[in-house]
Amino acid sequence: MKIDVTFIWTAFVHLLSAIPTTLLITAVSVTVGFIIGLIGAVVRIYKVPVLSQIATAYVTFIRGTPMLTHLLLIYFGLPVIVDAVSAALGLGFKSSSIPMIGFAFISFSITAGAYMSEVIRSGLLAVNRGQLEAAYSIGMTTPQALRRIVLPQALAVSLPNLSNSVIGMLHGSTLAFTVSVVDINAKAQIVASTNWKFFEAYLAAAAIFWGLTLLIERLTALLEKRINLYNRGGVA
Amino acid sequence: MGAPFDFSFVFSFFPKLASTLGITLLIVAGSLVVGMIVGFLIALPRLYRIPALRTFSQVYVSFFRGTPILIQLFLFYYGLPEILKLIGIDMSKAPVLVFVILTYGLHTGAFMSEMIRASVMAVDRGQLEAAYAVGMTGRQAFTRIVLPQALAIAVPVFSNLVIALLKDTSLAFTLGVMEMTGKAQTLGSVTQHFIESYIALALIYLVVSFTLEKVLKAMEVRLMRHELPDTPARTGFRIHKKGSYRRVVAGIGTEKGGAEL
Repeated sequence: MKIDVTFIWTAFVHLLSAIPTTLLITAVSVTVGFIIGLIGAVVRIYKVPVLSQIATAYVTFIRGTPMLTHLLLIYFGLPVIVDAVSAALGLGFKSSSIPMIGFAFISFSITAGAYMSEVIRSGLLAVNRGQLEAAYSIGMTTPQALRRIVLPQALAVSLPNLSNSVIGMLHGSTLAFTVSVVDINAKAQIVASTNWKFFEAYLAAAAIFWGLTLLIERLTALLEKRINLYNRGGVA
Repeated sequence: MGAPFDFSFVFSFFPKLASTLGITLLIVAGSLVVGMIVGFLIALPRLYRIPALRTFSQVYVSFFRGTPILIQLFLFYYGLPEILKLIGIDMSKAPVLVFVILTYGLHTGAFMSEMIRASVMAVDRGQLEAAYAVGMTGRQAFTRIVLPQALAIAVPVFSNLVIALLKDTSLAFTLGVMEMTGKAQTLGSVTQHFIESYIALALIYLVVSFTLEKVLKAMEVRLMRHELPDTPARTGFRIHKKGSYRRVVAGIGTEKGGAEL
């Protein structure tokens, strides 16, 4: 069998239609993960009694197990919980009405949350303590100081790691095919199964992922430049 | 979905899953060996700035870091036999495990090369010059001075890579390898106790990655002895304290993700 170059292009065009699904999964999981991560990081830094232990256990568990197991646990476990709760409360909600992509959203958000929590935490710890003290001394409350002074600096510091997390989630979204969501990876399988040219189809898929990854990196580099404008050192 | 939840199944699944732990660890160990060799080969052209090979290294690293491991698995599983057929090697009889180890090895190799490059570059140039000054040859200076220091810097990154690799092996089941995740799926569908089987699976992964982390941490402490607080016997010889390696390590971007072309 020879490599069919024209089919790579055909597959590439077919795969383009699946890019929005992949990007949607990535965007949702990164956004929700960021919120979870932020809460987790703040809770752990302020050592809030019970919550900080829960956050630590959550981060340890998620980071110690593969993303695939999270997806499978949510996929099989969540319907049971949802049905039990809805039966107990007498709601008419059935777990079967959750769309497949919903499982991917929930599970990947949980995964992203743990990784992002570590990224944000290290960013927060990198901010000089004097910044917070200065904010207090001019009369800001803690939430104000966190929002206006600490977080912007922490996010600037952790931007490269955040970008890595985004890329990690982009690559992780290929797992969605196990719960029958048609993302780029699943689409490549579908396209290839019609004529058995798997290699060509996956070459096209790899090219798309490579392109997307490079794009994310370029965008991060631009953002980093913009965000670090204040930090040029020297006088004036 | 499936039978009602029964926690006792979690325990009964443990030994069954643990019996396939060997395959998972075999994939990890095999790919680490392949990855080390590939990593060295890929890192050298960039360390010594060899013109054309250096570009190849860059593209190689960028490709493996810029595409998902799942896509790479399928790509090599379907593509490698055809490419090797061109040079007259027949792979059609080779077991799937070979492809899996090879793919994970090539994948890890990209990250390893970044790790090797960054840790060798992180060793102070003055160390090499000092070694030459006391009359060591190039090889002596490398094995006695640069390598031990580079090793110490690389260990934390290496530890991250090993654990990431362990977690990535869960994808091997997509090609039909009966490692832990594949086994968990089979157990689930046989007994209809999916949740219990995946809980057991997650717990085993957790224990293994936790153990690996602790072992590698101990190794790091051992290799970093020269950075530890000075014992009275050694303080006399110290002129000044170097910055902690931790800071150097924090700057090395060999986490998962990022293509950096």
